[in-house]
Amino acid sequence: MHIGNSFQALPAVQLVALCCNDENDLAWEEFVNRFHKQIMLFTFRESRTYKFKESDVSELVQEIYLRLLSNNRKILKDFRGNSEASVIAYLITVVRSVVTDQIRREVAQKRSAIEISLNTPLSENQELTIADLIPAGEENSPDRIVNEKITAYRLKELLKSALPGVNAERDTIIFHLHVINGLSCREIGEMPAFSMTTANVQAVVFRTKERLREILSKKSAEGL
Amino acid sequence: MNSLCDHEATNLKYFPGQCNEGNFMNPPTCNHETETLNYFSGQLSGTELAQAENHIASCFTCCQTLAQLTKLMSTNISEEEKAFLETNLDQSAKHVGQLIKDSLNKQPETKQTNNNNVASISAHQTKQNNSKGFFLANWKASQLAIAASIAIIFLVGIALYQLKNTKTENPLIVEARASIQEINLKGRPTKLRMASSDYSAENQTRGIELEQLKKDLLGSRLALESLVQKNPTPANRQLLAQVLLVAEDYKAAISQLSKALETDSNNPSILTDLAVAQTAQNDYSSALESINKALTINQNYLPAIFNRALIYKELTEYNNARSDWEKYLQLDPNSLWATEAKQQLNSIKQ
Repeated sequence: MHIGNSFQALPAVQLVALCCNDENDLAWEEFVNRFHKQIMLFTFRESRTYKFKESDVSELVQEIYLRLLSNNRKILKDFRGNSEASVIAYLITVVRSVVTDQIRREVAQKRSAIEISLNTPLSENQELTIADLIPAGEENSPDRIVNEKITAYRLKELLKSALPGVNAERDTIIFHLHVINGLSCREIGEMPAFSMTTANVQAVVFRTKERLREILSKKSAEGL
Repeated sequence: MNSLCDHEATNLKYFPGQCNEGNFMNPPTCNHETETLNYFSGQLSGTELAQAENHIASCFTCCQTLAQLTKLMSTNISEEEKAFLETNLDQSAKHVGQLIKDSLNKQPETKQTNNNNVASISAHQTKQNNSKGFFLANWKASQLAIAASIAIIFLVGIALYQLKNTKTENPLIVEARASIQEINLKGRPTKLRMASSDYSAENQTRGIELEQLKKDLLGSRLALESLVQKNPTPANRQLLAQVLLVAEDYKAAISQLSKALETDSNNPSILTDLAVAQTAQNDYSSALESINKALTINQNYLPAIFNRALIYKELTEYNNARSDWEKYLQLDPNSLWATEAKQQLNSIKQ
């Protein structure tokens, strides 16, 4: 049974299945050959977002593999995708959760290291506290927060009325990702959650914009 | 406003242009993050998918998460990233390879430790057995009764656990069966019908899709081969043989079925599959021998009657074929297989 040579030809989904079904060194070897570069790249990108040092990346990568191997490879066993793109997307979610956990740990450590109450008086004789001295930032101003909440709520309501039908939620997400989060139609189409062509994504965005325009012009005509 | 995500205010700071440097250490969070991650990687279906979509459509945090994940996935590699990979990739791959090896070898080590434990426990027990009479003599009847009850409960627990484990079917087997059925639906992969397979019509056109399905079956084959190595039951061998039949590796299929028959010689379904493999190699006399043996064990075994009729037809023994088709139709007058049997019977009559 020429098992070893056949792993390279194996589709990604089945390779993942083999990695989780038994302790197969060869399957894991192929897994590393095929996905390690991507795991490194994703970890590097994610860690850069949160200002990790470059030297931390390799430790995070090892942590990712430990997580994949932990609990008798439960994470891999839970994988339910059916394409190579979904395997890669799944690995990205693992990368993200490892990095996020690391951040939470660091934040928790920092919090436990500097525990000074903002209500502590500056000196025994003064009533002033630390909180009184810290200027409120523009981003925390009540007006801005309320405005942002209202804008978000209005947009949500508008999209709800603009997008009826079975794919309303999906189209809302696509619109958000394109218009608010700045993803290109190609990037959105490549997401395993959608698996759409770029043209289809463009059509959804165009249709949504048109409907929003119609609704807004109708509302302004009504004087609302 | 209630339907907005609880963490929306935090999230709004992460809009492009609004993210402030001081907050970089706080990734946006939402209670539904796990669903969002699963949604992103295409893990959801049905109700779960609808629920996740419904939430994400109204949650800025989760949309932001989706956007971040998509950007991570980008195939464009910057110069900085390229330089990082060039410097670190090989070394990291070595470390990771070692880590995986260590982790995979951990289990046998644990087993070794367990064996050591077992050895030390046995030694301890031998010592205890030497003073057993004295030890038990110190126990009162009530203590003995409690100990006995605990032992019984423990044994029943183990029995139930094992029963539960034996009832759960190995996912590999389920997956392999599903692959065979899927290929079967596209057209019968062999001249004869395999034992315990759903109906599939003969002589269908083989398309690219079918070839892709066959390629996909390679994974099931590899996995089943290692399963058979570990647990060579006749049922596992037969399933592997069916996969091999679909993969057109008839020699290997015959080898697996022959080995299965060594331990389960009176199984008509294994004999039937053996006949399928032999027919595929145009060895009709051996196939007829196998199928006759299957029918000696169970004279009403439908796949064997059906296949024998086909073999007789190939051997131009039309009278025998006719009597088998007629017998088949008496036993199974209404299935899809029966429809084919009727057609075959009519063609012989004509």
